[in-house]
Amino acid sequence: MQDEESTARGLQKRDPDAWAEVYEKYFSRVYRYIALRVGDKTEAEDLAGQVFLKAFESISSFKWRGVPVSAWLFRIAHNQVIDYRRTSKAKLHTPLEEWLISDDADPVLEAERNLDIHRVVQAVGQLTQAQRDVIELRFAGGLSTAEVAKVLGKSQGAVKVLQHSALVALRKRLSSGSNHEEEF
Amino acid sequence: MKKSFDDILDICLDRITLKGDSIEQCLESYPEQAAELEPLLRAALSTMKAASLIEPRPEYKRLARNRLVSALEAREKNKTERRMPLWGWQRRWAVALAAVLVLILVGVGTVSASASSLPGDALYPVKTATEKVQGFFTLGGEAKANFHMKLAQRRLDELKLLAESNRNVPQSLLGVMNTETNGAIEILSRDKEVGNKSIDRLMGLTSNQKTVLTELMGKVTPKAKLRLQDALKRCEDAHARALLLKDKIPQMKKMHVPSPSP
Repeated sequence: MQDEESTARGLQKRDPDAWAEVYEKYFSRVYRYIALRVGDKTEAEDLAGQVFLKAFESISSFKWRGVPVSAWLFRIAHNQVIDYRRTSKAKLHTPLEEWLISDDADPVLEAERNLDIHRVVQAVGQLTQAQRDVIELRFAGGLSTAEVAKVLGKSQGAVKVLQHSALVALRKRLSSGSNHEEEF
Repeated sequence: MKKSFDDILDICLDRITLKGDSIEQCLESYPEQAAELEPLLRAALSTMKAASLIEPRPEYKRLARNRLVSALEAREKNKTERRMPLWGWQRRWAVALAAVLVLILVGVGTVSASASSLPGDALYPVKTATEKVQGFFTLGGEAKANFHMKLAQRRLDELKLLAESNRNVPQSLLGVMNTETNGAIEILSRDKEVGNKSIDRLMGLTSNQKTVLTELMGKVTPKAKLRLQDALKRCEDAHARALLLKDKIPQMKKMHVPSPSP
């Protein structure tokens, strides 16, 4: 908590090191969360970049009350996605299958990975909005239950209940949607 | 106090994600709930595993980082400038007026003679003052963007000429070149009616910058090399942004097709 507070103070002072640290720690996580929500690679990159610029613009209004920086950042990302959805109807989408394709990658491996992503995105997409919010923040954003509760303005108990029901639904969809053997 | 199943599930998820425990280790801790826990933990792990494969392109990640750094730098610059008595539109007008006065005083001959001057030459301030006046009177988004590109190209040419004649290259020259390029990109990113020609010009400029700076890299002192590397990085980012703009043009055009008249 001490570290969190000093990071928050560094951000408020516009200390480049504090911003670099937060950026390195959260950019990919914010990107994953947004990508899963909007289902568009290019838009997710743009939106993730905007989240950090918005955070930078609004840091002066950030008050340290024990709310972790991660929860504040993901709250901005959450609102950014809501705004995007409101205005994005006319936009073209980059297909999900293009998420991972790169020039130097093994095409077979890439295809398998894309299939995994596709299955999960489909399954998550069938959850209720409240369940999706929890799963996307928890598993794509990598937040703890307490942080998810702060972002969504719910109690930790409510988040845990939603997490449970979402996993029951996901389990059904993932096992019925594919004959894939899950290996861990 | 006895833990609820929701709590146990949450604890196991934290143990797996934060401590790196296996599903089996968690199940051993909660044998009574193991049968119910296992499929849920596997579903959670499948979801986390798939989500972890979603990564931003490295060039875009770096680009977003540079935008944040630019925002930090701009904020610092504004803070310094706010302390100055004349700022905003007043300062812009004052600069333009002063530049016009200088041009009147020095005369047309001097202005045209300054066109070929290089940083460090006596006439170089006249050249930059002339550019300020031209920039002030350049109207329209795309025209302004093209003017920024013209100046960026000019700074690049000056850099090349200075290096070829073994003269000192002022550090600010690289910064000005990057700033002019970014100025063009910012305008073109906002302009919904931007044409392919301007984007192609931007791509040509940034590509040329990369070539020239890379060539110079082997000919300069180690200290200057560091500055060149930094400028080159910025040019590469500018090129990546130009490519993204090019990708976006069809989408922007599609979104701005006028609706057919009834």
